[in-house]
Amino acid sequence: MIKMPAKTVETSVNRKTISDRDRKRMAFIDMIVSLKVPDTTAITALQTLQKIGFSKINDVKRADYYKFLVEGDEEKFKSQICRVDILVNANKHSCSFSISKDNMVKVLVKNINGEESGILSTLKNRLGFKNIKKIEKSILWSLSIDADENEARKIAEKAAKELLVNEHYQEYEIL
Amino acid sequence: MPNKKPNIAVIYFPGNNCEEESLKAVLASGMDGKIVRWNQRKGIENYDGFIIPGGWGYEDRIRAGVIMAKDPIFNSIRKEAENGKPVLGICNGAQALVECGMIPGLKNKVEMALAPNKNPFISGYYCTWVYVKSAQEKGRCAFSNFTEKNEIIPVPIAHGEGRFVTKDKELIEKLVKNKQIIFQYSTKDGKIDDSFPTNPNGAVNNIAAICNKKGNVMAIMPHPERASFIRQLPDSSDLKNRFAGNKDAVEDPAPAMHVFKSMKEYIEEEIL
Repeated sequence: MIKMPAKTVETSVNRKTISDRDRKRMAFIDMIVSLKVPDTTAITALQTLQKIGFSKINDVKRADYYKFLVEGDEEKFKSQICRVDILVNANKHSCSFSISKDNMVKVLVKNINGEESGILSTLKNRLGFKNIKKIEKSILWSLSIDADENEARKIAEKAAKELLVNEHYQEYEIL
Repeated sequence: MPNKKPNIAVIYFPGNNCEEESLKAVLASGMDGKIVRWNQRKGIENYDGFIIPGGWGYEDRIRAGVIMAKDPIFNSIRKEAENGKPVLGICNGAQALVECGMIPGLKNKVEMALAPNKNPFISGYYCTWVYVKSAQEKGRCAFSNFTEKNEIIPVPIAHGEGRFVTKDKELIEKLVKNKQIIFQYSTKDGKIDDSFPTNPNGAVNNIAAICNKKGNVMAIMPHPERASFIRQLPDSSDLKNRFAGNKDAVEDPAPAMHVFKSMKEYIEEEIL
C-alpha cells in the first residue's frame, strides 16, 4: 500500500525530494469506480461463491479502487479526475471519492508489485496530471453476508482465500 | 497394439476459443476426439484423456481460469487424472489447472499463480512466437515421449496472464528436483535467458510448462495446437522455409505435434 513520505530532516541529500511545505500540500485521494450497468463479474463471483458453499453470501458488488497521492488542490483534482474516460466512462460508470457506509463487508484486493506505471504515465504525460505522485489500483469487493459482524468478516476472509484472491501474486485486506 | 484409438474429450467452457484447433491436432495425431461441453459431465469417464483448451473461459472474470477451476467438471477430471488418464491444459486451460491445484499438484491446494505478464513494452495481452526448450529427458511426462532433452520448439503464445509465480520459496526447487518443469522459454539457440523477449512474460525460471509429479497432467502456456503443422509456422521460420515451394509438405506435422503424438502413445501404453 502507498505510504505517505515520512517527515525527514532536510539535508543536502533530500532537499530536492520532498520538503515539509510540499508534504503538507500532498494528500491521498481515493476514487471508487463502479458499473452502473449489471456487473457480470460480480454476478459470476456471487454464483460461484454460492456454488462452492458460501450460502450466507447473498450479494456481491465490485468496483475499481484508485488511490492517488496528489499534490495541490484536492477538490480541483477530484473534479478533473472523475472526467478522465480511461478511468471513468460516464456512460457506464459511476464514481465516488469515499467507500460507501453500508452493511457489506469490504475486501480490497491488490496485485503485489502491481504495474500501475502505464496509467500513471498516461495521466501525467498525455493528460496533464503532473500533480499525481503515485497511483495504486485495487479491486474493491463488497459482500453482503447473512451473519453478525464477526462471522461475516470470517466468511469474507474465507471467500477471499478460496476465490477472490490468489495469494501467490495478490494481497488482500478486509476493511 | 490396442484395437481402438485413444478417445479424447476437449472440454469446452463458455468463452474458450481454441477447441476446434485442439481437436484438429488430436485427430491429426491419430487419436479420436470430441468437443465436450463443460456441463456434459455424464459419461466423462468413458474418455481416455482430456484437453482443456485456450481462450477466455467465463471471460476471465475475477482471474484467468479461476471460475473454470471451480466448475464441477473439474472434480470429474481430477478423479480421472488420479486414475492415470492424461490431462493437458493449454493457455487458459493451464490457468485453470493451476487455479484448481492439479498443477503442480504437490499439496492439496493452490500452490502457484499465472500472474499478469511482466513485459517492458506492453501491458496486458501479448501475442507472439517464442521458442521453448525441453527441460527433461524424453518421456518424463505423458506429453514428452517424442521430445528429446534440449530440443527447441517454436510455438506461439497469446495471453495476458501467463507468468508462472509462487510465493512458496521452496516450490521451484522441488519442481526442479522432481523434474516437473517440462518446457522453458529459450532463445532460438536454446539459451535460457530470463529477460524479455526470450522470457516473454517474466515467468519464474522461464517456465512455459509444468507437469504434476506423476507426469500425466501438464499445464502449458504456449499453444502447441497452433504449431502442429508446418503451414502454421511463421514465414520467417527456418523450418517452414525448408519446405518452400512444396505445397503438400505444409500439411506435414511441425515439432509441437509431438505433444499430441506423445499423449496418444501414453494412452496406448498406460490406459487402453
